[in-house]
Amino acid sequence: MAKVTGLGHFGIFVRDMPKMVDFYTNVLGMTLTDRGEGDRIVFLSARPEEEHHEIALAKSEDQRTDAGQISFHVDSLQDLKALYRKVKDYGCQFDRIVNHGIAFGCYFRDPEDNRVEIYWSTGIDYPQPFGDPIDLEASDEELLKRIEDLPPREGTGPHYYGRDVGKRLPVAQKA
Amino acid sequence: MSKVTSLGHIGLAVKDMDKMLDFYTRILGMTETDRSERGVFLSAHPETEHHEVLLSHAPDRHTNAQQISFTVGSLDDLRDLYHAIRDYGCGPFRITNHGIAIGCYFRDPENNHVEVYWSTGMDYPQPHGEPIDLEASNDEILQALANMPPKEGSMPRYYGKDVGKRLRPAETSTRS
Repeated sequence: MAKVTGLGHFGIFVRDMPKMVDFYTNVLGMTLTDRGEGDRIVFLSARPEEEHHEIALAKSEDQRTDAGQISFHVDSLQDLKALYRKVKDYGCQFDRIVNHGIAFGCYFRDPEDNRVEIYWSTGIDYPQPFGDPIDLEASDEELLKRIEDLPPREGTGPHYYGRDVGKRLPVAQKA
Repeated sequence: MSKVTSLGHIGLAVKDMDKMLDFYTRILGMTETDRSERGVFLSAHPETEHHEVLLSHAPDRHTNAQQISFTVGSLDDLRDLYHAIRDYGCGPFRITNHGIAIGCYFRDPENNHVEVYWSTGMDYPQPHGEPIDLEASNDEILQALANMPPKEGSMPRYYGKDVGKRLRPAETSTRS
């Protein structure tokens, strides 16, 4: 059966295009791959060799996107910490920094108040939703221990995520 | 330098959870990976990504994305999905040849602007869009791509390893 194979890109409405392009390229490190006349639309990709755009910024005076979250991967815990500081230094407000078990996520508002998450996938499976506040200024060892210390937890369904499902932190078995 | 490495997931505000869940799993073929009273997690490749879309029950909100766009594996799959979405009752459709992709735009059951698209495997400066008929044969569609004139872009080209070669073998069919 035909099915979608992945989320490719997401388009958001933007008021101040230069400010948003600056933030997504200079702070988050995305690449500008194409732009429309008068910058009515700007295309951004974090992996431009594979995907032409992952974010489309569309200029609009009257429309506004209200996404629950727009979430981006980072490659390592070190990168998450470094990017967290960079976003903080830029002046963004953070509303949630949590251990999801499957990921450490850092939620903040971009310059036009979109709720953005940057997250590092821990590589373990853990039933969602789950969120436990963490301090990204803590050492890597302390933060990694937070994952090791997670108790088994029962989920709502069979788990698909990760190759080591059931190995490191098994979903609690029903009696 | 630390940077984001890819788009992982997005959150979508939902009014009628049963209806939206049915559409995203049964019609678009996504997998439900987890749920709570407030929301449902969906992924198109659940072995590698826990969720790509989080449906959150929020009757008073509308996400109003400019577009939410999903990849498909082949041109045949794009056509099949277009038929499935049409038969489900979604519309109106806008089917566009972007050069880099054939995109099929429609409104999901809660009026979100959604695209399913097949990446053609060739590079073409964006934005670009011209209508194309998905009922045409694969050969005709590939010919339409091959006939696209050279176009100057606004930026140095990043997309595709064979930038400048224009057309590399495209995955048109998953059928034997």
